[in-house]
Amino acid sequence: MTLLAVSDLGVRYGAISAVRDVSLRVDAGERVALIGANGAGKSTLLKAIMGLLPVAAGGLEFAGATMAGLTVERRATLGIGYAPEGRRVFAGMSVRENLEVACPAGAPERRRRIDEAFALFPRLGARGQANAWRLSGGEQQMLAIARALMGAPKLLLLDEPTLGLAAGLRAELGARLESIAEAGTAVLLAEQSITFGLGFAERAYVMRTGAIVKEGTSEDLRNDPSLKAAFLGD
Amino acid sequence: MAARAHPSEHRIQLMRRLAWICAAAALAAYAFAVADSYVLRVLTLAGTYAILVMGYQFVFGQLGALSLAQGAFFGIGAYTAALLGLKLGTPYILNVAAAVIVVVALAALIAVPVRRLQSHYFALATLGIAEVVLIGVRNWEALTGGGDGYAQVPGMALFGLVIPRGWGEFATVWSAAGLLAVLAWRLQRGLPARVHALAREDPIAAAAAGIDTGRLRFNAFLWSAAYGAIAGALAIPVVRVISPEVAEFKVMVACLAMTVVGGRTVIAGAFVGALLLYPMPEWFRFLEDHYLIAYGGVLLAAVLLAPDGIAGLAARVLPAPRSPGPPPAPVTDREADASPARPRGGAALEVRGVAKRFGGLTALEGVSLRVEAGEIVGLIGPNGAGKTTLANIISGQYAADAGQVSLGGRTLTGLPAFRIARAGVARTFQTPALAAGLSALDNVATVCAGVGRTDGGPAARLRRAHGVAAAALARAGAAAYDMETVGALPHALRRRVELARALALGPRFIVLDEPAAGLTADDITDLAATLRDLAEAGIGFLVIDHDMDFLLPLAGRLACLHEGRLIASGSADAVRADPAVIEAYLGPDFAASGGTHR
Amino acid sequence: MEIGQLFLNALVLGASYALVALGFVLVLNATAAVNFAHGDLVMAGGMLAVALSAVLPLDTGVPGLLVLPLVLLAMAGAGLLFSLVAYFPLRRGPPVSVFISTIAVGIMLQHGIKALMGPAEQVAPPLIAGPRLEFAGLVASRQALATLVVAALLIGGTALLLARTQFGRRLRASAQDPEMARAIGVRVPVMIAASFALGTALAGAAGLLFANSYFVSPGSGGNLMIKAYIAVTIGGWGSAPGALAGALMIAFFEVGVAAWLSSPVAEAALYGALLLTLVLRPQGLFGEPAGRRV
Repeated sequence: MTLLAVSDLGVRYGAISAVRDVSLRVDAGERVALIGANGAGKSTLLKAIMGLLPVAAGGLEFAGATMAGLTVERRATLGIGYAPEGRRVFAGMSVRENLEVACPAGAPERRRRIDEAFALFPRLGARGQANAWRLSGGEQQMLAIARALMGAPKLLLLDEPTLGLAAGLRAELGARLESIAEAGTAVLLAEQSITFGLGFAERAYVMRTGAIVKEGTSEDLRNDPSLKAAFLGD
Repeated sequence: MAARAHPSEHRIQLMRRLAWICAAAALAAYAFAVADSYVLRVLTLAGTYAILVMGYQFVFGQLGALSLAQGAFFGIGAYTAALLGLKLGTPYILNVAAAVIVVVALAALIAVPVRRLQSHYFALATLGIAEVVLIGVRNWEALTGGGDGYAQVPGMALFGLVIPRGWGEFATVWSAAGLLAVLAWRLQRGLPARVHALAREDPIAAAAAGIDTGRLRFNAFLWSAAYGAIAGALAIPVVRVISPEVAEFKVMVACLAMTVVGGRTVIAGAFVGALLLYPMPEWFRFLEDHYLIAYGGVLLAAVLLAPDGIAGLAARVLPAPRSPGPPPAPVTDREADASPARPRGGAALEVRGVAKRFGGLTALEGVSLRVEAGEIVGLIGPNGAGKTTLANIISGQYAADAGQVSLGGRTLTGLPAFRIARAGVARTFQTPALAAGLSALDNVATVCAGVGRTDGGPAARLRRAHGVAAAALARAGAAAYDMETVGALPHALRRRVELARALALGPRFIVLDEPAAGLTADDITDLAATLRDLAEAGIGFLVIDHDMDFLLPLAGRLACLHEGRLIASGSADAVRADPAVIEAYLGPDFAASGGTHR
Repeated sequence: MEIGQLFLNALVLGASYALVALGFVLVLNATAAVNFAHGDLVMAGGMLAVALSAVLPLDTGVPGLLVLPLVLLAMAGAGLLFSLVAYFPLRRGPPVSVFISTIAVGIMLQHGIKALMGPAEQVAPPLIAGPRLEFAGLVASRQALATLVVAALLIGGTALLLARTQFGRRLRASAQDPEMARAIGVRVPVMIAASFALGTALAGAAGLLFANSYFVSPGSGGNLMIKAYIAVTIGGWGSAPGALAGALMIAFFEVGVAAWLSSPVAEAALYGALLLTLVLRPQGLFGEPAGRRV
């Protein structure tokens, strides 16, 4: 079942056409990666899906219904979780509070989900009362993802989660994302790191200067020699 | 694209002058016809408020700085003139002059510490000063007569001749208003109007154009004080009683309301606002003392519905004279040599050991880089690597925590952004920093404010600035669009206008932040060609970008930043093959497996 | 014991100032907008208490306490209305428009109330009526002590609301990062309106306390707004604990200097201290000198 359908999407960033004629889809429970250098338009695309940027052309559908006119909050409650670039955890609140505020359910269900989150990210569990700005980059990233999961979303949008993370943490994060995907949540992962992206996803789209230049299964793309050119030129 | 035709400059000027003369005649006729001494008094005081508002327009209208001290200036001006006349019996003109001197001196004193304050801090500081003035006036009984003040303030007199009540005062005040309006007009027209618009819309862009916005605000503040003092000194002989009322916040409120309702940036707005709102107590006579409720209501309605004010709306509807009709005077070779548009010969930019931290986050660490004159170096690196931070440090938007930046041996670190722009380092921004409401020509011309020749009137100075701007636009490849409003231009052209502004500074080095973003392939080729020409003329470039199609043929060298550190620097091929760079972009395992898979 | 008496007076004054400052900083954090009418809202709360006491039968020993919940409720509503008129329509515009709109509404409030209730100073019913208490050589009116307790309860209650409830967490998240708050499903405009309601309710309560301890007149508002502004500036822009500390400092400064020299000097000195702070340490005494990210 197609969960997210993007058709011929155009998004402007001020006067710049940051995304042009982009079409992609994510099925329920699927893992899809969006690969490309920075400036390629990945973040812009995710923001447009979330409603944080207005759409200049094309359409967005979630679970079969159009998202045109839906507010950001509405999209979140419909079942889209978003972990933005730069994490953006609520700095003045503790780890636990960051998770609590993102959960719309009642107190008992909230507690259950937080326990699940701590089981998934033991590091966060160990620092539950700590203020979010004290966390390291990697821990903040985990918090941002755990927070996005608190709404029990059907689709998780991840924007460059490995940015600034050391190799060891990257691997750990990859493992966590595996668990999340295995639990049935669809994931759309925007990544600059080809290895990480293709390592996690089943399918991927390659973006370059606002458009999709390639798509295919991870297998196929991994063996594609022209992939490097998308980043470092021909 | 042809420049849009507009009515000839001459005709518009004539129409405007005619409109002013008609309005003045209508006012005089009305006053004469009514001949009621009460109405005359109201109109006279409205005139003093028009002067007050004109002064306020310098700082709040032109520069958008919400000062809340304008009422205090009125009050101190009134008190100075009244007390001198009452206690020392000095002639009226001397009293007015003294009022101006006292108030401007006070304004200068408080402007120095508050000049760096932004928006609400500035409002708060000026509000605090106004409150202190009020406290002083109420409590320094020996000087000011305390809460009761003094009655029998002497009337106006010019060179020994007593000016009669009613008509005499009316004529004096309105003549003064007229003269001060002409002065305000002369002070603002031409290049200053464009510079103010830029400073108001985008202070960062103004700094990049070499404009000292702090000094602009200081000057505007002093002018507003001078006008406020004159307004107070003129009003007090009409009212005949000096009391703390003239320094209360309601004067500031009235001034603010008149400015917003009349129109902030148009001098006519001061007159419209004052004449409409000063007699308001008459209109709302049923509210008696509570007319201020109506004031508040009108102010609220104005800010919600017509923030540009009445005159502002009219200005948008009527044809506005753009730049002088005929094309800007061609710049002679000799002038071109002297003008800022001609680069002064290149110089090397050196960055040494620069570091920058934001709280606990290290954005840059130990970055060192050298770009020779006429060289183009591309700065690449993944997201968050610190490229824009480095650009901001070089051009002065940020202060480095450690390290040094120098151009041709001259240290630039620690200088404010506008000074660095004047010193020879220009830059463009990821989103072109231009005043959307001005034409391309005007945007670029702002660079000439305060530099170069200062002879000739405002019109001549503007013409010269336009000449320099036209030359710069030509070099940047946007000459055909000089009369277009920047807000209406597509992105690629805005980039060129911004580049033209950078060129108009006569820079020896230019930092470009993502110039290729959003450009089509053709635009990119054109831009690269333009940059190559400029480099050949001796200008050094540091170009930040992700687009390899653009950067690789253009840049002689590449430098790669990653997590705040420079991890590679050298020829384009060497950098692209550098394993550290590949790892930074594509991920560690990719690099380990030797790059491209087969 | 003079010092002790002064200390107590300063504490009571500080408690009221703290309520004013807390309401001010709540709205500030939620909207990044300075509400120039905040002081007038405090005054409105005080006047409302006066009006209610004239209308309702309050023949008990705790007339002020009975009126307090009504004032809180009414002022919360006023705060909502205020946000709809002066803030939401101008949200997307330049910040200076909100300054002006709040100035305008403040003027209307001040003079509207003056029209309704006259320009003279008025007194609201005390929280607790009754003779003064004496202990340890200090004289304290029941009102003063009740003020301390009520202010502490309201501030404590607000702190609890913000720290322990889901609603409070959402308020804080909206204030910190409105975009991200929306992305986790928080209806940020509703939170902003709620912040106005809460901040104005606190302002109203402060007005009720002031109106008995110190009198209230339609013109009292401007002064109070500036004091809230100063408290927030001294304490570190946007920090609620800083605002409370700033409020207490202002009260102690005022009472101290007034006792030593005179009231007007205390006022002028306060503004002088403000200017000094703005110039020398704009981030306040508690704020962090954080770099600004462009």
